[in-house]
Amino acid sequence: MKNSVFTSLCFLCLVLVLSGCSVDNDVSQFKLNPNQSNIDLGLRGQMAGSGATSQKNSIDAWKLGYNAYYPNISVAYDPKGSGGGRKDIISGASIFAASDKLLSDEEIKLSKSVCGSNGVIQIPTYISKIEIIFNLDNIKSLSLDNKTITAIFSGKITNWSDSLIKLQNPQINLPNKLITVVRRSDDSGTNDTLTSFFSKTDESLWQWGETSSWPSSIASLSQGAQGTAGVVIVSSLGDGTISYADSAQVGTLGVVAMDNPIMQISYMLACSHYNDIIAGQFVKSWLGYIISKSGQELSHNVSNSMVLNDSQTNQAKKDIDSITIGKENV
Amino acid sequence: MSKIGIFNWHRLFKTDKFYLLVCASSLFVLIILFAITVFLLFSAMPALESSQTGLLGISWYKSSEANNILDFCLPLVFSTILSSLLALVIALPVSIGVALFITFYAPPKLAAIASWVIDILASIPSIVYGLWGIFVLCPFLNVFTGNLISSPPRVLFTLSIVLAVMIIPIITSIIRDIYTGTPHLDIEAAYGLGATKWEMIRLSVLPYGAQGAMSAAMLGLGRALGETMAVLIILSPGRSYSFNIFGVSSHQTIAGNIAAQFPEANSLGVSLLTVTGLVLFIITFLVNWAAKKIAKSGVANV
Repeated sequence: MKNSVFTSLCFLCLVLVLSGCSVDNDVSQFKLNPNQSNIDLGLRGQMAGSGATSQKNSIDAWKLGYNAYYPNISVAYDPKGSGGGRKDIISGASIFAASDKLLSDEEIKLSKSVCGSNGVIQIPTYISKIEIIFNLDNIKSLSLDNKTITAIFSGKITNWSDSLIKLQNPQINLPNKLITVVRRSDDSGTNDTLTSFFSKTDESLWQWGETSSWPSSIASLSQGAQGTAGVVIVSSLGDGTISYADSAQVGTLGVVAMDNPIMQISYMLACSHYNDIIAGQFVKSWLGYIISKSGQELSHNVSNSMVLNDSQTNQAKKDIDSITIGKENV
Repeated sequence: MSKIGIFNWHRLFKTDKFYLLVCASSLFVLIILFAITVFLLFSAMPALESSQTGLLGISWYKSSEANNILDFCLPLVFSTILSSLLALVIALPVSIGVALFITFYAPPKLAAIASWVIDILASIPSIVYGLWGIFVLCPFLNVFTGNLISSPPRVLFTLSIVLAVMIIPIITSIIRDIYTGTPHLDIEAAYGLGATKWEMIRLSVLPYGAQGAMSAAMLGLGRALGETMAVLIILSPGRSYSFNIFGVSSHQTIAGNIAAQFPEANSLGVSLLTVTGLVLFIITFLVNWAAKKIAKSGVANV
């Protein structure tokens, strides 16, 4: 709700742009037909969550899927970024959160005051690919190796006709055009994933390590935009832009073919204890649905995310079962 | 006898209800202004009193790499003033031109239509200007800037053009009213000396309206300083004292920064944003004061 207007606008636009790949259709394909006995009308209320923009598409779909079982629950998700989501659950402002990054020790410690003695629990729910996207006239695909990508994002390669890029794409007629890097200006988990990838690729090129906010010393070499939707829109408006986004949200932009994909694990964060019985029951059933086979397949279908494997699912189940509800006996 | 201080007490107590009503209205405005000042000061206090270590707990303060609050505010102040002044430099000549056209050149019917269009422009919400800026102006400028600057040009220059378009209506309508009031004797005198229309304007209208135009410019400046939505949508934010108005991620205004950081701000963060808001309040206050001052001296000269 406390979202900046720019982000919401961007989402509005993105929804319009993406309405071609209508979420509704995909859901109906996986229309879950819960038995009459599976439908729980008793659990009711409004449940608020916030966090990563990467999971947004899937969460929208999960809401519909979940409502087939629990029609009287309405889930409100505010995609304000991983950092904002973590803050919200630690401060008790939301019931659940989504984050592309695990909590720091500091944050776990902080969470113990509102989230029960075990603090926040973190369950991997969404495994996806981060695509390097670009906007060049008439070019839909490029191959770039990891080192070239790192060099572009650290501002070392600044023209599309650079010999290194040409060398890897001999069949493509690359224009003599400035490369504009578009990056997230907010506190983003995708930034963490990407910068960690750069750092691993070549530390001498990318000297700033893993960071959730773009390094300020190279900030003026690139453009900032808010949220995944923001970078996608700015990239589409520009000419010769390069950026990064969750594979579910790349829209009509060109995608770089990479040596090996950048995978991102995104988590759902929940408290290990809920005093409020309804909130507790909601979180358990909500997370239970998300990690279930139908939840994961639904997400794969709308966002092209990877389905959790058996051991991940079993671990997640155990974690969800460990959530306690009711008056805490300290 | 009945007039003590600024109020006419005699009328007040003789139950002149209308007089009571107008007094209450103006008092209400004063109270609101006072309340805003008090609110700004109070909520700015925690940040002003906080140590650097405390402030570093705010993620966006930390990533700004500022050494203290002043260090944090000054680049914002710089960008705010730079963008607004640039907007004014673009807007003022255009406004004077439009006002002259409406008052002295256009046939009455066309003048009426032009005035009406200017008023319509003034009533367009700023977010519409912002969207126009990013979806129309940026791609348009991109055609010319091409390989020279970052694409799309979400830079201070683009922002200033949009701000200029936003303040042209208010400046134009004030200047138009002043020019309309140019004494006929002055105009006749100029023509009597054999002046052409342009010479008449230069000799009679422009000097007569100079002070008024300055005052109108200040009011326009005040509006540009506080503009938020257009900044938030168009500018790629950054922090520097760079005069490179084509440099991307180098500028951010106070109002734009408040809007961008507010959703992510904790209580100390909100307090820090209020400090920047207080600074903006003082700047706009000074600008308005200057406008008043100039307008007054203008009246004295005439």
